[in-house]
Amino acid sequence: MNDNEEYVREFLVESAENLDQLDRDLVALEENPRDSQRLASIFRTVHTIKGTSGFFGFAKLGAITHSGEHLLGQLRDGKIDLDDDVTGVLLTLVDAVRSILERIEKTGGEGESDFHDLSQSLDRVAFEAVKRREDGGVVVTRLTPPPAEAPAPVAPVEVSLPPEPELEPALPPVAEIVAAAEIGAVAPPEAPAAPVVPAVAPATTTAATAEADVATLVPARVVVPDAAVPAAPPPIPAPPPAPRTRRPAVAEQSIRVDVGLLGTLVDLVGELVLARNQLESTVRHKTASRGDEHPELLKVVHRIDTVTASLQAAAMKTRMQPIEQVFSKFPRIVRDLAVTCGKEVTLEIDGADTELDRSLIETIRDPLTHLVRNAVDHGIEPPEVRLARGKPAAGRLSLRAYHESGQVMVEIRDDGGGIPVDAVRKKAVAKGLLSAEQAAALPDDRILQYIFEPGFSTAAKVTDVSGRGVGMDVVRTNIEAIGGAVDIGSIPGSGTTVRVRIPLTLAIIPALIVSSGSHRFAIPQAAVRELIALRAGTNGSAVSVEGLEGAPVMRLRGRLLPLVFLGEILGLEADAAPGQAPRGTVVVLRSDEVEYGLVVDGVTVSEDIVVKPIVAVLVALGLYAGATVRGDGAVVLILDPRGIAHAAKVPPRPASDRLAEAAASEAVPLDRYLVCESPAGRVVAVPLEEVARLETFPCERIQHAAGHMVVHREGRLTALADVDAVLAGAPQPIDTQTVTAVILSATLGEVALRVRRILEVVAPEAPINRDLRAGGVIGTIAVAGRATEVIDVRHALPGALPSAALAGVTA
Amino acid sequence: MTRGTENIDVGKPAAEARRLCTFVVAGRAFAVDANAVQEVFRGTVTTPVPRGPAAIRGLLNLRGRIVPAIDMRRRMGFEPIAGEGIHVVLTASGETHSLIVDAITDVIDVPVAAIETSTIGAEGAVGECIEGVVAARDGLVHLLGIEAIVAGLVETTVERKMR
Repeated sequence: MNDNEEYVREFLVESAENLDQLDRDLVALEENPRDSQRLASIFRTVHTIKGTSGFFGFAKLGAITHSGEHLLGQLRDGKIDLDDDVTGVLLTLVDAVRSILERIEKTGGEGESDFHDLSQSLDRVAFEAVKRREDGGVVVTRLTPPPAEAPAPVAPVEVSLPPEPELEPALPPVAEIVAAAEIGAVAPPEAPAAPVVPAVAPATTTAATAEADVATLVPARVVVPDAAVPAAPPPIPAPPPAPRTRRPAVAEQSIRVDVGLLGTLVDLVGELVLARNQLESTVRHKTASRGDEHPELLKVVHRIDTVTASLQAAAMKTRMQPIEQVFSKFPRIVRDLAVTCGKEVTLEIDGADTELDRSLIETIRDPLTHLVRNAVDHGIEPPEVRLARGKPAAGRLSLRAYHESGQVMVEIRDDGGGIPVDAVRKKAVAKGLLSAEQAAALPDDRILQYIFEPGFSTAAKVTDVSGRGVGMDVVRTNIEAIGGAVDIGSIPGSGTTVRVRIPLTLAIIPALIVSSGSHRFAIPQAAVRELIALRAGTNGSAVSVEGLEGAPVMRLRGRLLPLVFLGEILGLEADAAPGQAPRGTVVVLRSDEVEYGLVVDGVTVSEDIVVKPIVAVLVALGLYAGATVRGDGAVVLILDPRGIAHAAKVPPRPASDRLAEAAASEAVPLDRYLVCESPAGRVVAVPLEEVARLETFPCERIQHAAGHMVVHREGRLTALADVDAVLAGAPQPIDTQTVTAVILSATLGEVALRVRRILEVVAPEAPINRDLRAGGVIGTIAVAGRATEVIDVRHALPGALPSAALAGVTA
Repeated sequence: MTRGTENIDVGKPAAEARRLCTFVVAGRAFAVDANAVQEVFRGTVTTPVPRGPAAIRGLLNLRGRIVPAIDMRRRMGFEPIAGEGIHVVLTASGETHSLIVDAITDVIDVPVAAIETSTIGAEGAVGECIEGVVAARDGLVHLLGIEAIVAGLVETTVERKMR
């Protein structure tokens, strides 16, 4: 790369940042046209781009920025007012500059587009504005609309300041002085670019500084730096106070660093941490084995340990960037969209300095932009509707970012019309996602989440819901892809809030370290729903593996869960000989599309891992998401749950299944029962709300106490009852190595109910029939068409039991 | 993993010359561009990649960077041998790989004109890795292209029984 190219690249990078700032400044200026700081900043940016484009010979860029600068100069000098026309044409200028810069970046040239029209309209707007001003007979003094329209604080000040004729000839336009002050240069003032009518200078000054602090206005010359007052007769009473809106001079405190270099730094620190660990263990081992202590050596090791930890924390911080990078685009987006939709929107941004990993910034940009657009487009009502509803004409859109329990929360809240929940409810039923009964039973906040379903995502179909929801499924998919979550709440008539939860970093994730044979792998915790021990040979095991057309499945709470054996899918040594019952742990993995159980030999530990990229050839395998280095220096591959499901051909879950399940588990207050088989082979049901948990324990833990059978668990003795005995049948002898029990929780204490095996959890459609009541049975329910007795739990409690039920017979 | 780094003094080659790092694989002389070589060390690979390309012996932890180690004997279709081998770590197209070779021979400067780019007489897996041939003092040296080595990994992927 030759020098010139390097400069051009630097120019492009710098200009891109400046353009973003311009967008923000222009929108802010529109809000507050009196803000001379902003105006000066805008002027400076455009001026810089113009200057540099001249240097590189970008004529078109030079031409339009020249026209823009002229218009801005007139604004700055107070010759024209900032109105919609002016703002509009200035924003168009920013867009044009951006498009030229993009073209330069891609092709090296300015491209064919002719921006002559833009230059003309910039000139025309400047001319017309001046003309309008003159025609209207308004005195050419103010940067601002007349005080009557302006917020209170400015008006009185403007009136109260007397002209100070003796100072005037020396006073350059305030904007320029402030500009000079802000960049820290103490340059002597230039002659005013355009002659300023002497009598009006103080007024201009007033308008410019009113924002800063009313106290600083008297005398107005306070803002003039020393050198700017030649032979200043009155001494400057105090140094100019920093205006509130002034941005800190960041230039000297930050430098540009190549992102790759930062990555290398983080990697090296990781390596240092490992070396530190090795050093520590070596020193400890040596001193322990020889018995000679080296206090100095230990001290040094300790110091290295501390410094390394701090270094690691600092290195990780270099990856963090403020969410402002995303937020900064929103004022412009909101403004443009509000203008297009004919709405008035006030955007409030809070917590823009909240930091998150650089790699995440780009990922969340589109989803957040989408949510913001939605809020303006569909959330906030047109002014007339708002007024009719007794709300202020301007809608409020607030964006808030903050840290919460190691994650970043972003809240997008509008005070618009909200989402008509009933329309969503109807839609969900119409789309077959819910039955009418389920829909009726689900609370509003659950119903609202259906907005994120793909079925709701086409614009045409959504208009009758509320218009909201366009592409919401994409928003959710993108956020979930990075391990985040999104959730929506809405109050009809008063607004909608969308909360997005984003992990702090993608670089460090919580993961489960699992083993298969001698291999170890990491599984991202985000995908793990639960762990289930797979015990072989126990008849009454809580889980059982079945074959379904050759594919192994597991019955889990009444549902069939496809199983994938890790050793098999990765071609490792065989997990179990065919026919032999598998053992190990089932890691239940769930993503949007699939849910399956990954059978591994064991789960080692759950820990935070640093995700490292792997080469493209290995990514292409579709099985691994990356790799990590563990504390002992070993490299461990990170499994890609989605890819493994794909490789194992796990069928995707139908959306209706997923939703019905959510409906069943979270909202529908149906009675649910645990169905199990008694030792004698009777199928009985226990109300699920009475069940504390399911346990299996070895027979050795069963003891006799006071004529009752008890089981030793967690250091306590729990009475063990036999289901058959509760049902006034004969207790079965214990003839197995282990005993499976349903632990019932009751106010009087816990009791373990011995069963042969657990069958499933059912939610019968018909309520319990209490007509068929007998000793120990409170009624019957229909399970798969068969009447099943529901056990009276109180009957199983020690006091209520006939001693025979508790005594049992041990084999 | 034991790792003894042998520093290679790459230095600056003469004008119009390429500096090559030469090594031996299965008794034959090969070379890679010395400028791409980051380091050379003797070591073992601890983490295999199940279902990965057969030629990838496993992953290395190179100062926090995860680097796949390509067994050049397997990659070029020679009889594999046990043992740790010598790792030649090189970076190309933004990715770092390690080539496991039998032994390092030398660093030589050869005039660009002396590199014959037509790969006469080399076919199959060896042929697809070769970028050119150069006549050195001790005989012909085949110049390997790292991009070609990596690109061909996928095609040579063979179902491999893990240990």
